[in-house]
Amino acid sequence: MKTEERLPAAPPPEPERPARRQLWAEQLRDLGYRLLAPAASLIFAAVVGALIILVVQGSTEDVADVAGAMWSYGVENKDSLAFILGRATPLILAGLATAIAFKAGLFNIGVEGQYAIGMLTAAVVGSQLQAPTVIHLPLTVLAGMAGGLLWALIPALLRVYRGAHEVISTIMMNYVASAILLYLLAGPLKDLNQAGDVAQLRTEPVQDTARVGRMAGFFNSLGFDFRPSVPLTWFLVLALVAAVVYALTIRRTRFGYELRVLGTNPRAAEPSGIRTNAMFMKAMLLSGAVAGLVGLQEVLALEGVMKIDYVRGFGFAGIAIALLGRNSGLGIVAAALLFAFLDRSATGIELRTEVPSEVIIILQGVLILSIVVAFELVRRLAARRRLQETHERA
Amino acid sequence: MPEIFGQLFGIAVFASLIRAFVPLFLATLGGLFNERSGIVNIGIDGMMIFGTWFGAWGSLRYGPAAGLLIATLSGVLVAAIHAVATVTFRVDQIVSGVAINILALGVPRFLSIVAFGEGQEAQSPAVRSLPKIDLPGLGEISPVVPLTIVLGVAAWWVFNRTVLGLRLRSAGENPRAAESLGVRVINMRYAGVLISGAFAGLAGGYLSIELVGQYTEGMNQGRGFIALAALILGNWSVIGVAFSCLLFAWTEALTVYLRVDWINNAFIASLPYIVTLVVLAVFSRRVRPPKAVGHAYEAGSPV
Repeated sequence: MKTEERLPAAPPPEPERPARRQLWAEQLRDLGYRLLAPAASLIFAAVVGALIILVVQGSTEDVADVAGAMWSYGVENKDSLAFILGRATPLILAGLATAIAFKAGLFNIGVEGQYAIGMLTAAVVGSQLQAPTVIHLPLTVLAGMAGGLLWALIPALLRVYRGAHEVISTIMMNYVASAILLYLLAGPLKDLNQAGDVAQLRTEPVQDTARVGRMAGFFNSLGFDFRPSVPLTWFLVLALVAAVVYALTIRRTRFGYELRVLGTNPRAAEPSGIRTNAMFMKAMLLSGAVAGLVGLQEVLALEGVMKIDYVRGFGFAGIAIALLGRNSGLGIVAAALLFAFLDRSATGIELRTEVPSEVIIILQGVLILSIVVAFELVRRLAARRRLQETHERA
Repeated sequence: MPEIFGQLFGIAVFASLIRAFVPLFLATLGGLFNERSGIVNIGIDGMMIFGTWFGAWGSLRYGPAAGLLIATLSGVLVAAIHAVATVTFRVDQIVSGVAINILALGVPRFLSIVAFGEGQEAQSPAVRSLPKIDLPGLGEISPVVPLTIVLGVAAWWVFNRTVLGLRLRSAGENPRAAESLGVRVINMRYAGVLISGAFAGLAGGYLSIELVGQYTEGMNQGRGFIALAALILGNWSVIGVAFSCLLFAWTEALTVYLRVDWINNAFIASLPYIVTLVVLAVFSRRVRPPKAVGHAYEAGSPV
């Protein structure tokens, strides 16, 4: 009785518990809001891409050509799925690495350098150590993580103890990483059996005991028909497991909770018993360790060596993917698949059309900008709706 | 030892220092405008990259002077994206800046293929530079060098002696108080970001047109980020950043001239970046950034 009398009166301490059906409707609408922003920005990016092609090539035919090539290479081709999953593997890991830092309110722009160092340390342990697979492979993977962690350690220390902003320091670490990489691959770590120019600089090959296999056989036993050489490896499983562990950690553990508090309201963190500096350290180091996994598919499975012209850019793509996926495990996997699809269709555009395939890179850049603007607009829209509803209730 | 002394402070190093100083100081001056108006611009590096490409393209088509102008305008155009995103839509300023930097990795590649032809995605043909000025003792220098000094003096004058400068700074220190005194904070922040883009674009144009005579991919080498560190070391004042840019330019000059047996070349090559890290470590807590920098401002909002 009492509570019923109190509730309609001015500001109730807790909102009235809605009926279950209403709850469902609200959840559905929330989901709608959440999907609205990515959908809107995807459409926006596609329109911008089409406009760029129109302006550059001057004919609508080219737009159709590009769309056709994207379809046939990104979807139709029987190996497409394998290429997309294989490409998504490092992208998922890079997205997760960025997201861990994001969750604590940190910008780890240094994933790019961290995964390069991780590739190097893994290549060294993978090629120099003699051990059976059960020991060698885990050690090699750990070495990759340790390399990434090491490269994140300096920005983390500088941030916590010296107040240096991690955006600048992680970028600086990227440049130092490429200088060190060039030095080590040209000197101490160079594979002496290789001759040739700078582009051929590489470490000694990783031994069989530290290699990871391709996955085409497994998929084909499920009824797919992939060429055995498609660049799809068991690292995909590692990336998916990492995404699940990430999602559970963020949602279900104390560490994840503290991370979220720190990221959403840093001023409230310390008074509520969270040791902010320790959390900054942990988040940054964990981010670096996961970043160390990004390049391992290339070193341990696809190439078997660390080369100076290794595939770059996963770190920056990871930022886009974390933003696009709103730092959620599922969202990051979805965004990584989207980026992998775009990368794959770039091959189609390259081979089938007159349009430079770099249009895809522009598309990805536009996507990042439009996604943050779209999320902001949807947030305002939702806030306005909520305000309206509160008014109506009152 | 005297040889080392020459490598550190010789006349060749000094000439090289001036060449490195110009783009860095221009970009840092730009950063001064956006940060003092209250907006963080991590995208300066990207705006410089756009400047290098459009500068080369403009010089190729319309000559070096027009090239510098086009580079400047391209910086303004990219800055406009950042301004709309951060000032109007109030999205996270660092996120927007990072997005611009990512755009700058891809767009110039695309444009190069379109403008310079297939297989030319990473570089332009050689482009014409402005006629050099002969300076006794220093040799020939680009006319952009004195222009940079003039712009530096002008920036000091704007910040410290004009109403515009006062309003711009107030928007970055206490936007609410500024607004209550009739300052249009939104306009000031737009101005700050657009001017920043102009400086960054010009800096990029100087790199491709004047310094190298060609656009090549990655030629900016992170100067935009070093500019952000120079801003911190210079404590957000024009005179301060002039000195901090001199320091960073000197370290860059050393990467060209310093060759010492017992110091590794990879270390020397990363000297500017390592010095930046050290500077960040030492000075980040000793300086005072504009109070409201990084915080979105909503005109007329109650809080």
